[in-house]
Amino acid sequence: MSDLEFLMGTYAAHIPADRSYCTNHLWAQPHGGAHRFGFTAYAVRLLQEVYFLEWCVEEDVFLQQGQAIGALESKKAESELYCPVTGHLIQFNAALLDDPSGISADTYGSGWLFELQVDGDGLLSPEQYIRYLESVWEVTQRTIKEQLS
Amino acid sequence: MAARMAIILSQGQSQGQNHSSAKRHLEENIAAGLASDPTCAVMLIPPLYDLPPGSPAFQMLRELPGDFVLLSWLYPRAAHWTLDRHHVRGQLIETPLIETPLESGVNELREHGAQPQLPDADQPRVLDRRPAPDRRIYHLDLRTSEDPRVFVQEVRRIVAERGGALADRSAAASPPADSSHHVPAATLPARRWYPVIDYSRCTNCMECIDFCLFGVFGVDHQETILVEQPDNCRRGCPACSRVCPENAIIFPRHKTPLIAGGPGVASAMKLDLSQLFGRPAEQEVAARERDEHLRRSGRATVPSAPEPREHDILDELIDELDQMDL
Repeated sequence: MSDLEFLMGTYAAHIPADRSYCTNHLWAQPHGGAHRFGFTAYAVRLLQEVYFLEWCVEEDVFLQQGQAIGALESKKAESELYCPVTGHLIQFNAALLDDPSGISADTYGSGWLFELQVDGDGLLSPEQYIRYLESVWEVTQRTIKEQLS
Repeated sequence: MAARMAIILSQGQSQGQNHSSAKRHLEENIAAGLASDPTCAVMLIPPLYDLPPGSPAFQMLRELPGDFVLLSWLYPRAAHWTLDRHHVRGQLIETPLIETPLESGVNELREHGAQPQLPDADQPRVLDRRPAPDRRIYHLDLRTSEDPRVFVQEVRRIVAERGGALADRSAAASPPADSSHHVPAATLPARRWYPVIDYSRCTNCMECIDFCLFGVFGVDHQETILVEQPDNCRRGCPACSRVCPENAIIFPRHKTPLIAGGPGVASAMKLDLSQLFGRPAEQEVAARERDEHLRRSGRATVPSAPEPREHDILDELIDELDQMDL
């Protein structure tokens, strides 16, 4: 299966076909008995360059889906981060704590955020994630506008 | 003959009787303070930002031959790029009037250009390939003092400073002696709301045209972004200013100085994207909206993380059933 794209205006967010996705704009890929999670190109496009990243939970703990796990700040935005699916947190990407710019530099590779042991339920296929993006793009724009008005 | 320098005084919009009369008072006292000065040609115009494109005031401004001073109730950047949009172009010269007690020297006023310290200062700006003419436009923000003498003194300082250069120019390069525009308050134009692009910051990235849902932005024949349909803008909405990576978009009447063209750069304004990145309560709302969108388009709802687990399993079973060739 070939990779997919989602058009944000004229910007095409690349959605690789070799992994799963979450509705909070993270990708997930099996890695050493767990899943590695990282931001999608869609998320990075909204955030732009991230220069601050902080986790507020310890490694090796059980996390509930929706639980606040950290925060980040970029040139144009800030956001709290939430656990995408219930599971056991193995580790955070230590390299990003020194320099979070890797998030935007290598979104689908070395810019991964954390490893979580999950059962794979509740993850979206690339097609489902694209459908999800299609369904929320207008709402996303409106949400930003409403926040700013 | 000494050249006269045009001093443009842009009226303030009325904001309640008292506020309005305080503005009028300041404007009138500045105009009176400069009226007898043979080196100044004072012209009063309606509120600059609210002028319709075909306004005679813009025509008059376009015909001004040389340097001029603009006093307005706007931040200098807001006033300058409003002029620019209407083809009144020049170099932005700010003369901040506020001095702290520690600053010595009455005439030690700092002059500096429009370019702030931007995060990506090496990126080419629209202004780089479309430079403004050398003529200087001195901007004074009328909100910086309630004392008309402060403005009169500063205008005289500018005129005196420019005097040496102007003396060498022909008299034709100064505004005619009888040029004065006094517009009674009763004829103030209706208040407008639209973005103004600071081309010293704009990189022509097109984020704004992609983002705006109201067709405000367009491009010129050189594919440069411009505010094409200003009156399509939704009153009170400054969203494009916030999505602009360079904070190049100004809404002169917004209450936040950074959006209104005040000093400062991008890093001081932040979007909070938490609700888009999974803040649970909002995510449930988003999921409902998403499902509604999907149902409207005749598609199955998406099984997703924020929904309760049993829903995920059920949805997936249904999806699997759908996929079976029964």
